Amino acid sequence: MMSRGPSLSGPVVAVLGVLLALPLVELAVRVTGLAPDLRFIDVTNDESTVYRRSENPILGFELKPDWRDDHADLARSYPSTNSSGQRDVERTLQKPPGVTRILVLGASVVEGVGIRDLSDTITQRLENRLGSGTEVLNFGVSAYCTRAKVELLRVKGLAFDPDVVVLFVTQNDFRNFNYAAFRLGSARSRPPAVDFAYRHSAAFRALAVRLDWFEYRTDVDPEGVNHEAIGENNVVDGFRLFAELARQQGFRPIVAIWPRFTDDSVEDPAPLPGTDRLVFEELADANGIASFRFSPGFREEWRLAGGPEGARRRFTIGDRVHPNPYGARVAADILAAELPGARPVGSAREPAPAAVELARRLGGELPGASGAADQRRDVNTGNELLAQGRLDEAIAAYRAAVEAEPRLAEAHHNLGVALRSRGDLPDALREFLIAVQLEPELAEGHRNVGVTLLQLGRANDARRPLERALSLAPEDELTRRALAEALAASGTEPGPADPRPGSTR
Amino acid sequence: MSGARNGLRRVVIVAVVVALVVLVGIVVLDHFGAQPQPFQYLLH
Repeated sequence: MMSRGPSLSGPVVAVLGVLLALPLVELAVRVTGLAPDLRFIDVTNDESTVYRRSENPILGFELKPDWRDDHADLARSYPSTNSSGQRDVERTLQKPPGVTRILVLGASVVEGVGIRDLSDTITQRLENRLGSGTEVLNFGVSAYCTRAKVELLRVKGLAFDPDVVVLFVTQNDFRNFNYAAFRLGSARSRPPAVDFAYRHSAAFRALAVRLDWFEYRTDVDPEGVNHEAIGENNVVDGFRLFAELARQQGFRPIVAIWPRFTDDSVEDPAPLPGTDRLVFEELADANGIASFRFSPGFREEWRLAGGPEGARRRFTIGDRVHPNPYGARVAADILAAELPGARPVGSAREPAPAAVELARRLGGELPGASGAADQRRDVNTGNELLAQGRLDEAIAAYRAAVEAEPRLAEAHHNLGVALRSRGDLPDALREFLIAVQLEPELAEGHRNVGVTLLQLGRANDARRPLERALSLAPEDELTRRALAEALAASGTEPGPADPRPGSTR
Repeated sequence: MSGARNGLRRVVIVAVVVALVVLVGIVVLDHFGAQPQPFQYLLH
């Protein structure tokens, strides 16, 4: 036996075989490009925003509890949230004796985007108006669609034992995912070894994103996962679940339909063609839920106030949707008048097929409504075409992405890169500027604004964006070199880099 | 010596089979739409 040399036993062969397979798979995945490019996943919580990823796929993200920020920008951040993670005053889980609880579900309108003082939000205005004996709980979270609002009620709100639940709806509710306007960290904290493997192994990455190991798929494509969980007609599904919960829990539901404010009108969302009803009204009615429109109350208030000021400026922070403190006060007055209309959920019937179909169609028409997957595909296609030197085709792909989703900073940025490669500097500059406006902390975007200005011979103008880029990415050698060039060209010696890591604007 | 060579050959065969199974698995998963569409992120 010894004369034939040492022989390997089966288990040893298997272990060695698997160990040898690892570098083989790694090599093959790298060569074939089966792994996604490494996209940095921020596994720590982003400290600059009040939102965090939620482990509930239908919610996608949620407000952080006990948040405090004295310099809140009122979009990414608010001055405070309570201990249960709502933009509200502190509430006890147990309803105090003799108190009526009204829980208000909604998105940014209820949450109070653009409103600094909590006391100016619709819910607090209403609570003050109704006086002691009534609590009005703010369950608004920006960008939630109907299904997500009702999910928040199911997983969190019901524990507060509400007597009445008001569901605010707007045109954006038809979007079948919760649109996160900016990047968020991961809901998951993973063992360092796993993150190391994700960062350094293409094979691990290829498998992790496909098989959703450690929820990497969710981090790579959070909106896609959110969209899958929410389904294709979230308003229809959300209303049905809302009625079901009301039936089970005994609260009185009511749907509150929020309008859009233009300079010369107050418009209701999603009218049902050939009728004087709205899609929301038909769906609420079919599920046995009461509903009302805010629009008549706002129109009346506007008429009484007189004067030349348009509805948009009078009632909103200027963006046609989100109420300013005055708009919130009017909304609270209208809501107070409509609240007695909230009644126990009635019997359900099938909703009109036209309403169901329109709800589905509107979900496909809103910007970014396709779960952003199509736009991402366009961006990815553009990247591949650009890598192959097919400039015009790459530009067409990026343009398709930005037309479908104008808020996609990456698409604007990469379109800028492609335009610059073609020598189209002014258009490239424009795209880079849009990208940094959409994502102010995009270091590459600021650097490319600066580099393009340099190429246009505007060294003086290039300095500020390059300094900004360097403050965001102090180690970036390309930025350092470009800044040195800009300073030299504008007749100033380069000084020590100013990292200013805390600066955000 | 031939025993060691034989053992090595078996290790290589196992490695190649495992690698092929993983790669074919990835392709099959992609066929069923398992590959997410992440941003390939920023170009420089």
